[in-house]
Amino acid sequence: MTPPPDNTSIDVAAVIAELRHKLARPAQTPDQSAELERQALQEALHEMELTRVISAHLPLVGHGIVGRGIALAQKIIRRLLRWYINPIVEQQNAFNDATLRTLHVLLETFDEHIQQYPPANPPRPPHPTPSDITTLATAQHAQQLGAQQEAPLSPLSARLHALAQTRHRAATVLSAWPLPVRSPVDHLSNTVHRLQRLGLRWYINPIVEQLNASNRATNRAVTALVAYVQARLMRPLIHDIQQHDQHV
Amino acid sequence: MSKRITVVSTWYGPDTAGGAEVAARALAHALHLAGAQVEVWSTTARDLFAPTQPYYPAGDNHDQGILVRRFALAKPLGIGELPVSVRRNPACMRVLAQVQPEAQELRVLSSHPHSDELIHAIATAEPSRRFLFVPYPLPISLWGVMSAPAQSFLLPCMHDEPYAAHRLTKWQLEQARGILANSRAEREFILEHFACQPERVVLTRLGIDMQVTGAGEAFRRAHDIQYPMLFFAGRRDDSKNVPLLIQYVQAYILRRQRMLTLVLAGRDSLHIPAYQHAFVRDVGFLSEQSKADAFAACDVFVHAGTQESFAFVLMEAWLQRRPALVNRGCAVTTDAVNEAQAGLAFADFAEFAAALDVLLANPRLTTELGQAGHDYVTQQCRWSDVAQRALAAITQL
Repeated sequence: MTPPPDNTSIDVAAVIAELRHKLARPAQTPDQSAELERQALQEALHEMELTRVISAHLPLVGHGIVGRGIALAQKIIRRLLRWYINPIVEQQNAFNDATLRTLHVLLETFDEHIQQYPPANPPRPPHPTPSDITTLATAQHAQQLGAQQEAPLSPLSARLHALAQTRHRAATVLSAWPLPVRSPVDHLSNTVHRLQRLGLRWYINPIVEQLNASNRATNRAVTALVAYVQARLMRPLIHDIQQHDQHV
Repeated sequence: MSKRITVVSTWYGPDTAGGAEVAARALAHALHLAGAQVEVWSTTARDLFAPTQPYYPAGDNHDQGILVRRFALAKPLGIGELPVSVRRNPACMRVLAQVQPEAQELRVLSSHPHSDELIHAIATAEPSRRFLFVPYPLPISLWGVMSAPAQSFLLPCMHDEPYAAHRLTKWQLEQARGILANSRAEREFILEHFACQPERVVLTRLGIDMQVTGAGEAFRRAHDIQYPMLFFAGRRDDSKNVPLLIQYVQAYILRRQRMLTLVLAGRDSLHIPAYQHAFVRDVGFLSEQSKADAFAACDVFVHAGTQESFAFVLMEAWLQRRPALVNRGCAVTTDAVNEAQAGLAFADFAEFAAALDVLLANPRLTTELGQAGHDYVTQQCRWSDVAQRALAAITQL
């Protein structure tokens, strides 16, 4: 006779939690995982394309007689200042164009390289640490010995992380930065500069906003490219180790 | 013993996160249980993660028998602007003229939330009231000490950071009536960097809840942890060196060709590349019980942060008898590990990897270290003892 099921030994809540967890986390092969980063990169590059061109000639529209009068005055001021602002904007556009092209070529180069030379794990290293340590002093000694034999970590990852933070901080251009006060005379000149800034903000601010959109898109694309490169390089290696450990 | 103690914390309450704020609340309760007349003065905002939005109701309410007076937040200030309550207080203006703070200090102060009503209440409080400000760098603590220095005590929660180098911080620490230090290393830092008389800087430490027992196996099952588990709970950003920790764990996996799972708990969002989800598990914000379960489940508790004045999570890990691996760049956690004899420290990846080799290969060692940590915590971190030390300092200094 089949014995009745022993319900007391089943932790129902834990089983349900486990099933939910598995359902929430779809199984990923190495390629699928890199595909997520690839998709994010394509989206970021597309956004970069959309924000690449900065315009110094956004439409100026005024409503009513007064509004139209102001718009006309702004158009005249813009035309008078065109010799000054337009060359700056054109230089920025040339740089944005070259940056986007570079990222595309870099991506193609990397894909081509990784296809020819796929990453592979080195032979599994032996485990040299003794497994009979019971005191803190012995543990500290073993740690120091082990550390002496360990090759230092490449500083490149840390540099990438630091540069990402710098990019993040520098991505926003301010049109109204704090004006410095180095002497009492500066108070007067700062007041004049503030008034000038206020008077020209209809002209300068839209350009700065476009610059910021472009910078954000570039920053996002560079970040996505770094993530994609890391995923293509690392995911197969980690997947391989995972498979081996599960097998063991 | 009859003096009324008022704990002043910008953020305070049951839903408030943050080490200093959690410490403020727990200490207020411990002082109350020790028989002190305790009040809390705070604002209506929740915590660092929602610093200026009203969350708790304004006015008087109670938190487990303690009167909590919540003051409204003032409107945000312009860059470098002083609060009205400071500008109208001649004592504060005299100090500012004397200290000559850098413009950057004022810019930083003006970027944090403040409450003119609360600062005014401190300035006009009866002289017998003793204030305990937690932590030191927020405007309410600075302007509060400036408004009533002879009545002010600080629970600074200080470590080596840019705020500590501010001229106003120097004035604040040197003029407050007394300072309560969370750890030996914090006390040494204060005595080394500020002209404080040693008897005014009292080592009171902090406590933790000793009643929580973690269920490690349940946590491992619930989160499908199959490999040796490293655990950290706290902010998952650069302030706790979490990116560095992830980088070290990845390098360890690749070099040793063995899987590990780094479990990270915290309220803030964690942004990592998708492929790192193979070895980093984000479990989000955990309840006290779930956090204890996670501590009990881990093989090693890893704390890579360097900016600590106490490190609650380290003590909580030890309470669950788990060994710790801490950053040698942090005087507080390294000193605690040495004092408790309950873990190892690393200065770079080589020491990190070698420490993991030793700890993961020697389960008897980790049990011994975990037990040493447990003994240390039960001896040093009882809130009743902390309250007695704090009470003695506040009433006798």
